[in-house]
Amino acid sequence: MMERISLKVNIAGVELQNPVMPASGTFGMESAEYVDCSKLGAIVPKSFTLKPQQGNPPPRVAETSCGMLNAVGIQNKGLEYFLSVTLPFFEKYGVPVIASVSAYSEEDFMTIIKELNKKKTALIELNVSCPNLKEGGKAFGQSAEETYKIVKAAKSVSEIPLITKLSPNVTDITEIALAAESAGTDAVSLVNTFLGMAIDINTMRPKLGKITGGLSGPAIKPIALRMVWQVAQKVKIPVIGLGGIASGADAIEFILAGATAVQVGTGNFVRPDIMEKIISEIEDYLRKKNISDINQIIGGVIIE
Amino acid sequence: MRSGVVLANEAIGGGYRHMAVNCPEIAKEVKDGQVVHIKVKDGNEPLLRRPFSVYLYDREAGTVEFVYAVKGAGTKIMAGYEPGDEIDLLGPTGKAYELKEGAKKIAILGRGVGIVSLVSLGVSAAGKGLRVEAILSGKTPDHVFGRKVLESSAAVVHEVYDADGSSDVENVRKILERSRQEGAIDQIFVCGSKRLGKLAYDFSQEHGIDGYISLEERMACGIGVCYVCVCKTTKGYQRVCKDGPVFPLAEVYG
Repeated sequence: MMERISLKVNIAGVELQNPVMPASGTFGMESAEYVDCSKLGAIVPKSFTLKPQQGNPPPRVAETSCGMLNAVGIQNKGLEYFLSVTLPFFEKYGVPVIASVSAYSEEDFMTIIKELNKKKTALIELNVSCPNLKEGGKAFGQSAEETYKIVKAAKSVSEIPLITKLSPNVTDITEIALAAESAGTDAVSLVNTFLGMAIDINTMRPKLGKITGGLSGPAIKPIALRMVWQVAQKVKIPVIGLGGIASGADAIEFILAGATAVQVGTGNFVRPDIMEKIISEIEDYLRKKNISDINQIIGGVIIE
Repeated sequence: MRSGVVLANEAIGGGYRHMAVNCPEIAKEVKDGQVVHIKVKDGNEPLLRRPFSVYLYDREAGTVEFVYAVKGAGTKIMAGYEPGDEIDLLGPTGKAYELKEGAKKIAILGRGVGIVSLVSLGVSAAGKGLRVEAILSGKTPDHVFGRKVLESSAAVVHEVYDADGSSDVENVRKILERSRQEGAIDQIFVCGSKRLGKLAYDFSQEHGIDGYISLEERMACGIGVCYVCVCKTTKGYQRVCKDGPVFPLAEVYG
C-alpha cells in the first residue's frame, strides 16, 4: 500500500491541490450546484470583458461529430459584475480563482488588470484567442507580434502572475508561445477552440448565426495534444493543456505531453461533475503506476 | 446526474414516442414546464445531452414521462430504448409555469411536440380546481396527444388540425374568445408555435392578463453556464435553459 499520492502542482508560484480546472466559458456559479468547487485545482469563471456585452446572434451552437461548434461571443456582465459577484462567490471555496480576461484593446486589458490587482486574484488568464469576438474569427493571439505586445503591456501593470491562452488557429503555435514567454507571461494555456463551420443542407444556410465558430470537444483532442507537446518542448514556463479532455486518461495524456495542469471544457457540458471524476481517475492511475507525485510524470512521455 | 430506468417507450403515432422512466429524485422535484437533459448514449457520439420537457410525473410512484418526436441522431437512439434500460439524466432544470394566486381559469395552447410541456400544467391546474381550456394543435389528428389525460382531469379539450384547416390562427382565436365569453381567462400558456405565441400575446394584451410561452433552443450545458441557447427578448439575450424555458409573452413578443 502506497502512502498518500500527491496531486499538487505549481503554476507560477501558485500551488494547486490538483491539476484540474475548468476551461473558461464552461463553468459558472450555476456549476456549483453540481460540482464541489472546493475539490478543484483552480476555478476559472467565464471570460469577462471591461463592459457587459450581449454576444453574437443565435443560433450559437452546432453539434458536430464528437464535438461542438460555438459562437457565443463572450456574452457576459462585465468587469464590475465579476468583481462584485462572481469573484466573491468563488473565493469562498478556498481554491485559487483564475480571472479569465478578454478585451478588444491593449488599454482594456490594462484597465481590467489594474482592477484585478486590487482584488489579488490568484492568477489571470489573458484570453487573447477567442475566435468569436472579431470579424472573421481573428484574434490577437494569431500574431506573434500582437501577442508579444499585449502580454508585455499586461505584464507591465500586473501584480498577479499571467497565463496567456493561445489560439490553435495559427501556422506554428510554438512561435506564439515563445513570443508570449519572451514578453514575460508566467504560463501558457492551450488550446482555445479551432475555427470551424457547419452548414444545414436543408436550409442551405450556416448552422451558426455568426457563420463560423469555435470547435471543441473530443474531436480536437489529438491536435490539441500535439500542440501542447510541441509547446512544452520549447518553453520553460508551465503549460496548461486543454482540448477535448473528458477523462482521467485524457488528462494524463496531456500531462505526459508536458502539461503541468489541465483544463476541462466541453466535458463539463456533458457532465457538470466531470472534473471530480477526472481528479479521482488521475489519482487511480498514479496509484496503479506506483507513482507518488504527479510532478514525476509531467512531460514524461517516453519517445524512443 | 441521476439515473433512471425506462419503464415503457412506445410509439404513439405522428412520429412521437411516449416514454416512462422511473426516477424518484426527479419525480419528487420536478415542476410543471421544467426540462430534463438526457445523455442518450455513453461516449462521444452524439456528444451533448438532449433537453426534453417533462410530460407528466407521479411523485408517489417516482415516475417521470416524456413524449418526444423521433427526428435526429439522439432521438433515433432513444427510440430503441427498452424497458429496463438505464439512462443518464440531468435535471430538472429551468423556470416552471406558475399559476397566479387566485386564478380561476387558464387556457393552454400547445402545438405538436410543444404540447408536452403544457400537459402536466393542465393536470395540476385542474387538480387545484381551476377551469382549464386546452387547445391542442397539430398537422393531423396523429400529431396531437394528451387529450385523454387532460380530459380525465376535467380540462376542456379542443383539438385543431392543419389537415382540416381548423388549426388556423383565426379559428384558434375564435375558440379562445368563445371560452372567454363563458368565463374570464386569468392566464394563458403556450408552447410549440410562434404564431400561437403571437396570438396568445395579443389575447393577453387585449384582455390585460398574464401570458407565458415556453421556448425551445439547441442547448449545450443545460444549466446556464455556456450561453449558447439564448433567445432574443426585451431584456436582451436570455438563456432558454436557465432564464426560461418559460418566459412572459411580453418579453418575447413585446
